[in-house]
Amino acid sequence: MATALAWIVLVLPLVSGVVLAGWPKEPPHAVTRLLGIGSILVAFGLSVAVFVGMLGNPADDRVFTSSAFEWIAIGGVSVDLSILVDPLSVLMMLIITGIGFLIHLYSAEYMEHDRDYRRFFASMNLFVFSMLLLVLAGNFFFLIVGWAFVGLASYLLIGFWYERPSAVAAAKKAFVINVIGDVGLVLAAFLVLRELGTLDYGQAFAEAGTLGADSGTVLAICLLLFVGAAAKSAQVPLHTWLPDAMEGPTPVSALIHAATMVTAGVYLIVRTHVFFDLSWLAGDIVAIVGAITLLMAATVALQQVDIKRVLAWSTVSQVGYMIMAVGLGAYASGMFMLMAHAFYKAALFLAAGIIIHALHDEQSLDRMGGLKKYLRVALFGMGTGALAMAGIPGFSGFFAKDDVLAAALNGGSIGVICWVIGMVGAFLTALYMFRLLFRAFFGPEPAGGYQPAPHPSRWWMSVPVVILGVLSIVGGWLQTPFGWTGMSEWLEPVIGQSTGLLEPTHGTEIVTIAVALVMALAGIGLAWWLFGADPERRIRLAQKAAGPRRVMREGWEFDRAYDDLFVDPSREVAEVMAARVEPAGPQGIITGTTALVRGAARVVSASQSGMVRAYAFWMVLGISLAGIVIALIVAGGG
Amino acid sequence: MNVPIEAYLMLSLGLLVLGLIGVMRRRNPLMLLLSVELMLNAGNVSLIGFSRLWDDPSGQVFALVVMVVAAAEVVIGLGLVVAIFRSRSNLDVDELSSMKG
Amino acid sequence: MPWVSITILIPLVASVALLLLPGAERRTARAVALIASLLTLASSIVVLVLFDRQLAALQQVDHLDWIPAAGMSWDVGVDGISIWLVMLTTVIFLLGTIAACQHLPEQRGPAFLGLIMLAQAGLLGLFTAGDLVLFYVFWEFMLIPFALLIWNWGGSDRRGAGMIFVVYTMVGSLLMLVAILATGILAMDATGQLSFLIRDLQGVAFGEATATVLLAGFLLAFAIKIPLWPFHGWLPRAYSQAPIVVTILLAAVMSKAGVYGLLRVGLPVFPEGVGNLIIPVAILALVGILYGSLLAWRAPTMRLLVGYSSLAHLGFIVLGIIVIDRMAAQGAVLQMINHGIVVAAAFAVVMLIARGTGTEDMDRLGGLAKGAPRLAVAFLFITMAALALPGSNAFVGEFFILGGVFQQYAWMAVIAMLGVVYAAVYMLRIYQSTMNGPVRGVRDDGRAAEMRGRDAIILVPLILMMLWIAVWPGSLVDYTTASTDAAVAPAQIAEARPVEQIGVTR
Repeated sequence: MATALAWIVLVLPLVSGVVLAGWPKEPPHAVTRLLGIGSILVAFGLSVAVFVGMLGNPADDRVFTSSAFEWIAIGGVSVDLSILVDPLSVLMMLIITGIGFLIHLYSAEYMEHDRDYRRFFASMNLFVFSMLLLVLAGNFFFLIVGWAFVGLASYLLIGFWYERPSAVAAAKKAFVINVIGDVGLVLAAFLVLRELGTLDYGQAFAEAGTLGADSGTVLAICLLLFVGAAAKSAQVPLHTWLPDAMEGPTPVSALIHAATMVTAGVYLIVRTHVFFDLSWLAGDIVAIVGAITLLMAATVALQQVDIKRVLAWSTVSQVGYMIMAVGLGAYASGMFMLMAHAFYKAALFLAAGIIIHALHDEQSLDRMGGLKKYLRVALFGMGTGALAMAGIPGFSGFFAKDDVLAAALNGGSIGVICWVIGMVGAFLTALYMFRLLFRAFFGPEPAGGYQPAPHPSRWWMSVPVVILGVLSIVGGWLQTPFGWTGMSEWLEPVIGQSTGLLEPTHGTEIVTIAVALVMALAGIGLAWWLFGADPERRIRLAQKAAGPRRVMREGWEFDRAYDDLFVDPSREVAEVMAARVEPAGPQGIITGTTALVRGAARVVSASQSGMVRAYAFWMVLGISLAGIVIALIVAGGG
Repeated sequence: MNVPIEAYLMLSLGLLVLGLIGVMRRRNPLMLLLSVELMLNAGNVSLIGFSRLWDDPSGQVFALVVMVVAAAEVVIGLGLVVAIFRSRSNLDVDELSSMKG
Repeated sequence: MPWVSITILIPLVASVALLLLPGAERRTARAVALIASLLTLASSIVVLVLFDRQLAALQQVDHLDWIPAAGMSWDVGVDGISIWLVMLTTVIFLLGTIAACQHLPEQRGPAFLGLIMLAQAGLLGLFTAGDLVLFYVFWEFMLIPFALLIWNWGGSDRRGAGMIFVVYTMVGSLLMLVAILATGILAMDATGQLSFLIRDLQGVAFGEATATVLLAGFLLAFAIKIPLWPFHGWLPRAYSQAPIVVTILLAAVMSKAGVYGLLRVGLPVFPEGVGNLIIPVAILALVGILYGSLLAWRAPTMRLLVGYSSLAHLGFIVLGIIVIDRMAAQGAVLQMINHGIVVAAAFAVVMLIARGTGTEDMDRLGGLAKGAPRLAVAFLFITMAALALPGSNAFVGEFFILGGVFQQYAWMAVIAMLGVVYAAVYMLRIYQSTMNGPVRGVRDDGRAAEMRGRDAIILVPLILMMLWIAVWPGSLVDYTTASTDAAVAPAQIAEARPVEQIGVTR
């Protein structure tokens, strides 16, 4: 039953997307909305049904697999088109279809005036299908397929406004970096295939133990999986595509580049946690990369002026927290934060979308200010989102971050380092989020005021923002310190009992809560001092640290380093190949042979002087020589 | 009367060398043709000489054939000479080198 | 009924008829060519239906002694390796004929179609030949029509391109002729009977050194035809100078001749010799993958880009065959079909864009998606297949090729992966520079390039085939498994690979 519904959930967005794409002309908006939004709503309803059905089962009877048909049998390996429905994938289904539905609803108004309304919804539905395929896949092959399809959908939506060169370039960058991630994942799958002889999750996880704990093979598998995860989840050093991805429409940024797709790396690590459990080194590397990312991205977010880029870098930073958590083995905490983040980051992006819409595609904080009296709904969404992200008690972000950090403090020396970095990150998070809030909604209006006045959103856009704002408050009550452990219990059939090491003690909980709260309040206070109380102050202070600010604004110059390290050398090699090697080598074989034949012909033809008398002379000479030779041979023989 | 074969061959050789020198030295195509005729006749003398030596008439027959062929060749050669003279008004084989490589 | 022979003879007869037709009879010529192509396709479908996928050996064999004294015979049949290549040939040639009929050259149109038919007969014969001499005859036979097509109807440098195409390929195939004769005669020493039948030659023990030398002789011919780096010198000229329909046929079908020969003759007949050549050939293939990718990235015209990408893709296929692994070889067989379909579609898109805009130069185009949205969707689909996006048909082949390669030589798969990344870069370049960005180089947003019904007849079947393979590759691989396993097994045994890797027991 659960699997049948899951199949329908999987197929619905695909069918609606294909129907939309295949509609002969641009369909009426009502049709597009019905197909585009309706299908996701139905999918969400069915996901809830699967969830409720699964709740009714005892905890040890919540994992189902279903195979549609034998997809290929090749070289002794058989791959089925199969899905795996377990608490982890059901959680992801709920997030994808639930938030997906709200964002689709929002898009109905946001994209209303766009020429390509239908194309937008078709692409969005393709994305939802791909993401569902990613989380429902029952083997590595279809995981990779879903993995790549979300990359394709992301490419299509980043480059949605394909006439803008910047959007086209951003789409290409996102796609290529995602392909690098795909390569990591494919190589991991090859390694699993070689060592375990299967691509099926069930078999592979069951036999993973035969590889031996801490063996090089397990480490390699984990690191290759992490290459895929890092590319998709925008972790250092494969994060550079995500800020550029903001070229896409804002709902896209909310759904794909904040709530769902970028957290696929977290899902991947939790899904393949069996391998990570076998290699502490791999886990530590993952955790450290996550920690570096969260700190680095937070500093960059501090310097962005584009409202969407602030949120993009904040996403990189927040996903860093999740990656850190799962790297340390706190899988439930990571998934918990994934869910909470989906709520508040979607709220933030959608609120930003309301601002951008109201200001007619203005995205720069420099030309915002005092918006609180125009855009109440956006203020609500942005405010709850910022409070949640800063980690104010009662909001979802507080519980999630606390859960992650408290777990980290129990994770050995690496865990303590991560805890410290996480705390610094918490301070920075509060600082940059409230910078955004204060600069956009408070303070004076930009010089000259708003022309025309910002218009508030209609219900299509308002309702999702309000719902997500509420969710970013209550969504965290699922798992609280000293109280409920809903998330851990729900995921138990997938990740097993917590290993004890990571079960936070009362002491660490209290320390973590206290320090995190101090950090958050300090960040908010500093933000108020810098950006809220006296708007002139930041301008005075800004001049003092121009150098570091520039480096941070440029995202620590990763883009330039990549250009210098990879893109330019490749281009130069290609130029040399095209300009030198190809003409000299493969073409040289041809031109060389031709030249050789020509040259030889020229030498021979020079002897054809056209002088009949000379020919006669040479003939006589030749005959004479031949005669002498014959005579000598005869004489010698005789 | 029994002429020794050496005499035939010496005569033949003489004619041949004369013809060769003529071909190589003269520029006038008429003289060239004449020299070629000379060489052909040198061949004929040899053929006849050997025919006498082996007492086999086929050598004589060959000589006759050669004469006929030579006659035909001279006709064609003279025709060509006349045609060339008409178009170029000059008879120097060294100038006729348009077929050079 | 000897359906295999009939499949070869239909286009042959049609081509003779077309070549005898006067140049003015364009309508008749179109009708003859289309009907003949359809009949050929129908006949090949009959062969497919009669095909028994359990059998590894050549089946539906038509055997006729030709010159018994010299051990030569007309011997054609199909097996798992060739059955889909035959289908690919008949389908692509039907679509090519339709495209050619739509834009028949002004000069000697019937002859143009006649030569295409002749080429089809040659390729079908090549893919079904069970006798080495017959194989050679068809190998050279197909060269002539292609060369004449380039020579007479090509671009500005058609003479040079045609000449190089003929001479270059001829050099390789003459060496193959020597190798074929040597193989037959050496095998006679062993068996006491002169025969060039591949099934007779299989199992003859030549000894390692002899087998290596003989295989090297074949390999050179194959390498030039494939083409394997650095023997691809003829490719850019021939592909860019040929009429685009001929380029489609060259890239989609003829380029499979070399890899097919490797799998049909190279591996099964000279298993002892393969071991020595794995590393050198694999290195050439890997260099070809990277080199082709880089040149495709910098190529100035769309046609050259797709041409060089073809060099890279064939590198993957060669790699899959030469590492002698079941999975990789089956992936390679699948990939031959995939590449044929995808590259045909890619060149067809180039053809549409060139006709609509008058240029193939990417730097002079842009933003066509605005005026030609349907073409943009089709092109996007083809682009994703060409860069082997997971989920596309080409990815299936690539995944299992590299998966098999990884099991034997992990480092090769890792290097080849670099080519996968480059493929994304250069294929996005061709797509984005023509379809995206501000509208450039065309009037009216490029509406002239839009895909219309007549173009859809060519593109849609190709896209449907891609979808079919992407959704259920098992239905195709099912036919190829037995024969491919059998073709690879002797070499695996000679290499003393573990038993569980070898699917066939002998």
